[in-house]
Amino acid sequence: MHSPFQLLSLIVALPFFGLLFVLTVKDDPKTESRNAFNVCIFTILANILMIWRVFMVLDEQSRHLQLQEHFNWLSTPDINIIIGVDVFALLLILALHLAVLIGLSGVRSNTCKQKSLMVFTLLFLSMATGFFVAADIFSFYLFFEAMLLPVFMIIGMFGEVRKTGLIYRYFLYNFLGAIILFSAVMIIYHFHGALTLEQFARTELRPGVRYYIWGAVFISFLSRIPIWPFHYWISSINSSIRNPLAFIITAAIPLTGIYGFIRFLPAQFPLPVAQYAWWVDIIGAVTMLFIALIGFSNKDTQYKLFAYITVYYIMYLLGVFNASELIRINIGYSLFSFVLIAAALEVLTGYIYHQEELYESGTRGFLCKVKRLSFSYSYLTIAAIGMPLSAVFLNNFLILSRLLASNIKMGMVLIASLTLVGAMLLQELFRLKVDNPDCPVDAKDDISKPMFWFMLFIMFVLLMTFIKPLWFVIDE
Amino acid sequence: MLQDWLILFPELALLGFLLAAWLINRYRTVNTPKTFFTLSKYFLLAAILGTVVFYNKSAFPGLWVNTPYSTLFKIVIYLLALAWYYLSSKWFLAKNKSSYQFYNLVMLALLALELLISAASLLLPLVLVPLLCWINWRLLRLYTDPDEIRVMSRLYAFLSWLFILLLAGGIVLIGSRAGTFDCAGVFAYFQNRGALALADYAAVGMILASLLFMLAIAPFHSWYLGMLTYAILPVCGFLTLIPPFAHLSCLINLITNVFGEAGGFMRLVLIIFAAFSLFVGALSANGAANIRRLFGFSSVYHLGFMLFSIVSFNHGGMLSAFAYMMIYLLAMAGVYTVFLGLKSRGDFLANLEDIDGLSNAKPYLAAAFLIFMISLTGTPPLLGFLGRLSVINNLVVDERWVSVGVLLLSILFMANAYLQVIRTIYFEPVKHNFDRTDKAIYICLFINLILVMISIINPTYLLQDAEKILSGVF
Repeated sequence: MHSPFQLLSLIVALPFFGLLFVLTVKDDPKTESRNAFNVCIFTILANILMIWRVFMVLDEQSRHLQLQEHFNWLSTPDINIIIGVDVFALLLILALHLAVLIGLSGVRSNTCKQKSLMVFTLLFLSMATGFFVAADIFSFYLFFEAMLLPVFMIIGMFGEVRKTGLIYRYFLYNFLGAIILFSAVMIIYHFHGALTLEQFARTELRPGVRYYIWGAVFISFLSRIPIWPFHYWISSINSSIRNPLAFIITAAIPLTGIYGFIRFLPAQFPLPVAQYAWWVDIIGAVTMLFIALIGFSNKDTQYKLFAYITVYYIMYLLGVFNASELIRINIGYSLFSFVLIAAALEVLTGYIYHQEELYESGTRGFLCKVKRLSFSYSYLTIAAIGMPLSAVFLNNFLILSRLLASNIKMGMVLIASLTLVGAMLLQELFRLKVDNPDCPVDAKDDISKPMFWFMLFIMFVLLMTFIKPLWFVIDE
Repeated sequence: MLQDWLILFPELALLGFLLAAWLINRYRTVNTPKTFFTLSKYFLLAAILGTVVFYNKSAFPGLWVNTPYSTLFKIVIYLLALAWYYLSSKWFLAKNKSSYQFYNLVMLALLALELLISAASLLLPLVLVPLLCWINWRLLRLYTDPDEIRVMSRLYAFLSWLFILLLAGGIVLIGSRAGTFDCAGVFAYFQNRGALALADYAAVGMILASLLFMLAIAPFHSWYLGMLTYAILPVCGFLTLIPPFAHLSCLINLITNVFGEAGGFMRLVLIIFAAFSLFVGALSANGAANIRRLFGFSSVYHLGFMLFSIVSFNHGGMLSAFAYMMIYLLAMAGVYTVFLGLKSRGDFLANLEDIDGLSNAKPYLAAAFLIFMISLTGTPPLLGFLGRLSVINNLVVDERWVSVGVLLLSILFMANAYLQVIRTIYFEPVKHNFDRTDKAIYICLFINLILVMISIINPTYLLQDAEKILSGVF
């Protein structure tokens, strides 16, 4: 199926146009950066509308990339940019847009360099959307690397990370992964031509280079996921970030690694991969168990949230490695809800952290007197641990059952890790809700009504995904 | 006869400037710093016109030959010169100093470079390279404290003489062996020679070494870094933007049209120097506290990167080197334009710590700086990626895997140096009060960014026409 109005290039370009518009808006103490913020919100809403439109014209049953668009880009080397989308990719794009929207609600009162934050956020959205719609190896690589710059700038300028050295190393380490992928892409191009991703998954690679190509693909995608030995910089950065939007954007980076595997790995593992893929299973399972244990014993709320996100990401990764083609769409449905839950939890956690700093007190019993915040936080925590309040419940059940069927030992480690992070989140919820007479917080410290309505909307979306994952799609 | 004079129109226009500037300086009492820019602009436009019209005509075919290939390089350096002369006039206006000497010297340098690009005889570099060295030496002394630059000045004079002697030795040696100084004659000599003698290798080595010195390839880069440390900003910009492109053209010309048969030896020499440049440039840039030096090391790095492509000695290699150089020059022109906007209390800032928090005080200047640096890193979707893609693709086609690995590794080191600058301008609090930036600087940056945007969206504008012209070199 080909795109009638170049819808896909439009959803990639719209955030970029919004960025240009943000650059031109007035930004002075009088406007308090509201202009830039409003333009950014409007752009994202407009793009969500476009994405919704794309869902309408998409064939949900098809496993191929649809609405393909071709652009002749270079003659030497001969490279065409091809973009296309399927339900899985579009779900992730929508999830990312909604997550950024949630993140924006957490920084709406920020007045320091708001314009820059909006510019880099829109740039990130544009590049990330481009990444998810990329249908050939070159455009896939282009966006894979291009999204690093806005992430680096957002972390550096707004992450409030005290050790700047960490930010450098985080960037360089991700950059190294991108460069390794670049070398693999160039070799693929040299020996097999400018393949589309679907062609690549079917191609028998040349014996002389297939080990290098698969090695490079694995290293570059794994470098985006906090899995041993690639976990240090990612975990250090994620647990240091105090800005909710910066955290959400940084936490979306592992998603690109998982998506990379989904696009590059064929239905049947090729020989060089099959020989070594079980190593990734073992390392992944051990990493998630350790991170769950550290998160459980750690007192930092931000780290707990990072541990929760990491454990779930690794579960999805193992799902991609071990599950069949049929289960892939379940991973997509689950990821959609998971991204929304993680983003909303981060915004609320950021709000609690901010209040904690304001009163210079602990957060024990914080939720007792703030009903709106308490309700939102409780709902999201319960949804996060996999209770039947979102698509995470049923789809994770399917993914887990499939993983248990394929490898019982790994499945047990997985369940132990998920139990640990679930207990960790409940422990945190209990701490926030336990009666504490010394807590200085009262009803006026609750989240604002518009914010609560927005959270209610997110909860509604999550609940609907539990009933039917693609509930918002109206068949034409 | 008249036709010959007409063909010499570009050279005469450049010489005409020298005469007109002398007359104006001598007889016009009220000259502003902009006077000589205005004059140079008209003469430069005339030179561009003449170059385009007589793109394949030569007045003295024995000495220099105009071809579409040489015209392409000439037009690029003329346009770059025109842009940089305009921006340089802002420096002279800000400092309220006479620009007479500067414009005289750079126009003379442009004439020498223009002839060097078209050289058809080895005697021409023998005359022009010493002239260029003398111009550089004079440029170094322009508005600088003589005591401060004494050591640098002597060092440069010594190195220049050394490499001029090497060049002269190489040319005389090859001329005596081939029996001619004519490029075509020397090429024929190498073709008919069979196995090359030690003297032939020595001659090729001496000539290549002097060209690499002019290009500031490591380990011959110290003079260039010294210049960037002590010379005034217009001189630094001129040396970074204009001569390297002309020297690159001369190097390509020598490799393909003169020493063709000594390819194996040249490849070895060039790869060694290219790798050396790559790592000296990238590692030294990480330790530089002066932004001009940092970008000077970056230039050394990028020239090394480009040399890797040239050593393929084929059409693809030349095209990718040309594309890389164009993209590098566009980004560097942007960086130097930003430098002109970095002013505090009338002084142009040169230290990294002086530009702390630039993004707070000058957000648009900082944004442009960021874009140019990211482009220089070769990160998509900016134009620099195209250069990197072009060079790496050429190496992959030749299956030079070690070179690919070395280049990709070096990108990481260089990126780290740029990250330091980004950190300084974006993540640090502002420490200085910056002066108001001239609107012309913003306009130039905007034009540069538009070029960057157009080229990345449709790179065929940049590459396809150049490809056709460059194919004429073989």
